[in-house]
Amino acid sequence: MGNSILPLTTDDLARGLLFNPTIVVPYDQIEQTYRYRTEFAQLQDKHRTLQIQLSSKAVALLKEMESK
Amino acid sequence: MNTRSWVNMVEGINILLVLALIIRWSWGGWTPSSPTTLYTLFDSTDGMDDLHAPDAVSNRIVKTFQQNGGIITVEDIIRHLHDHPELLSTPTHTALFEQMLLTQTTLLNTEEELQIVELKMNKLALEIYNSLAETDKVRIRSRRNTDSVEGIEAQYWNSVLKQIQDTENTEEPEHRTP
Repeated sequence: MGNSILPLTTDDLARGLLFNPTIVVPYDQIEQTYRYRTEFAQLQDKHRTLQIQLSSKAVALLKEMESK
Repeated sequence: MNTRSWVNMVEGINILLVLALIIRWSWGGWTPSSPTTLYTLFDSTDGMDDLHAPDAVSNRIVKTFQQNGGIITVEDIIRHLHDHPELLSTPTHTALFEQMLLTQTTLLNTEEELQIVELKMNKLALEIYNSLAETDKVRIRSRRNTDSVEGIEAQYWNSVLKQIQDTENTEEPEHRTP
């Protein structure tokens, strides 16, 4: 999003709107973006947790196979 | 053997050691006994996008270690087990493997959900951005770092500065000399 070298993220847009109160945007759109952003962060957290769990289980399996 | 002879002998040994070091250096350069544990993650061939990309450092660490053969991934283990199924020889092995499979399936489903939500979020953000006036677009685009720093990080900076000033003020009377 945007014409800069680095893409403008949803967070950039949210910060921009927060600190430029003269820019008016429909409330329902902002609210929906906030819901998506929250859900996205929760899924990212779940994803990281699952990655750690998978690695731990792989290590446990390797240790179990080594012990035999 | 008198003191002078001892001194001459020690000097001779020192000279021999220095000569040995010089010969070793001139033949193969100075090589440490163990390989270096420092790796260069980014160099002059990397562009600005490489440095500022999301998770640039962690991604580069993985890439560097993969090039040097330093990381075994879960996929490596699964491929190895696929080639050697006899390694899963006990019920505990099978149970652990089934747990891994279940976690992997949940992980893939979560990735799908992440992509769907990210797509929806970006679409909506783009929709909002495109509805703005050109001047507002430019303002948000050009001031995004400043907005971030002044609006969020600055609070922490100012809070730390205030704490330092408060500490200095409370300590000041003790440092005063009568």
